[in-house]
Amino acid sequence: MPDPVEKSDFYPVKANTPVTLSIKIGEGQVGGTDVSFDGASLGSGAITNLPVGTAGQDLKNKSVDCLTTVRRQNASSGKTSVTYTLKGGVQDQDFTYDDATLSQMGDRVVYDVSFVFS
Amino acid sequence: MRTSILTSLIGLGLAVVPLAAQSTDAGGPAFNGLRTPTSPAFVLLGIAPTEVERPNTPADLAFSVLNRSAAFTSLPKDVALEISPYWLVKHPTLTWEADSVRGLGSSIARTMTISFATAELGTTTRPVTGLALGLRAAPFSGRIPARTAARLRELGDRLGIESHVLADLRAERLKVLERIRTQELEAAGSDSAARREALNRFTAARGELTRTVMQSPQYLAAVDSTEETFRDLAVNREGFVLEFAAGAALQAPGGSADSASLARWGAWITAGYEGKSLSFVVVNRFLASSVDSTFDALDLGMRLIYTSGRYAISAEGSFRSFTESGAPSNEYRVAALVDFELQKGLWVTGTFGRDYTAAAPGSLIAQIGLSMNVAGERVKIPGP
Repeated sequence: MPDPVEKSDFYPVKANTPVTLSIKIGEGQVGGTDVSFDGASLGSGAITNLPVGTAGQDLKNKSVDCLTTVRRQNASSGKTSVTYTLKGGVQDQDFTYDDATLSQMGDRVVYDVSFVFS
Repeated sequence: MRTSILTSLIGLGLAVVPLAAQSTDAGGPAFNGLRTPTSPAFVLLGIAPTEVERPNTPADLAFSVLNRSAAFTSLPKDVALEISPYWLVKHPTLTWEADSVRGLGSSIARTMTISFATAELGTTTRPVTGLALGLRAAPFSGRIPARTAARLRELGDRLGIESHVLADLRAERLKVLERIRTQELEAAGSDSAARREALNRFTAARGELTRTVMQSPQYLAAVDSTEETFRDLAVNREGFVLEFAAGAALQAPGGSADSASLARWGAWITAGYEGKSLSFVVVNRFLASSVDSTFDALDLGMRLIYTSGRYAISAEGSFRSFTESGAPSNEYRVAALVDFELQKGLWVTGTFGRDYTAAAPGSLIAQIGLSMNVAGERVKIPGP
């Protein structure tokens, strides 16, 4: 298995306002994610509009941690790509990471990604 | 996969041919030989390269071309290159669900391949460089059936669980790293460079933690469990399929570009329906040579296959018409193939029919064989 893809980025949030997270696995591959926030698991599998934080909670300097495992099932391409979409902050933002290419069908890679709210 | 170790034969005075030999003789390959080739350029040049370059990015492609052609100063030698223009570039928004059904344009784009090959066809005293270019695309390429889509969704969920196992295993130590990161971010205040440095340190430490945890027996067991569960997953598209392919081969005596002339060209069409148990396919192939047109031929073939749990039946017919005057007369070939599982792992296979040249010895196709599947067997080796 190749080394995980490790990424971290800041996401500016509004005061005391929760955000939502959606995750898209691109390049026709299949994958699943575990999301945790503040040390607790928020969900796993396919992630769509997952609430992060609660109304009135200050998110600043906290982070949402995502572990996404992508497995190659596309015979035409070994490229991988994961797009994390955060909404509800200062502005909606897509973060796309595509650093790993898988040479064989069934190969897998882990995207290890954190977003720190700023 | 059935391992063809033919050990016995049902007599009846029929020809005795091991399954391995059938695969190159009177079984399906005569028909399959007509089907749309993956790389028309290789077929027209008559080569079967052991290594085909398949660049993944435009940069890889440019590197291959420049490297092989000595920066465009010479004809590239012994090249076997295949590219899929659509998959050369990134598609971050293309999910497997979005690709499960394709329109006409997206099917052509996602299946189109361009093949290019060169080979030395002459002798050391009379070198001739062969160069071929081929194109292949499928305007209709079927769809991912509902049962396969359900399995892919299950796989996605399973990969989520795997990720959860990984997250659980590193949770305690990650909390410590996050505490340190929070302290460093607060210390950095609004200094964006210092905040970025703190984040980079956290990313590096978290990466090291993740890599360590990925070696743990618990995580590796979760990965093995997923692989065991989905070992049989094959993403085969079903439904109507239509493929086109065409290509041309040039010959250049002495490797000189000025002397290059068209040597051979061909076109293929394959249409069919792939279902869970029933499928049929019709193929049409035309091959022509400008060097010797005697055997320019149009082939038309059809195969019908029905598969069930314990048996498979197929029937095929091929018709060949030579287009030049004075060429051999038209030929045809018909065959029926039956596979039946007598008991688990033990198959009987029969092939019956006639080959193209009915008057030639051996043109009667009549074979029955037994094959045993030993692929799944495990033999324990006694310990010391």
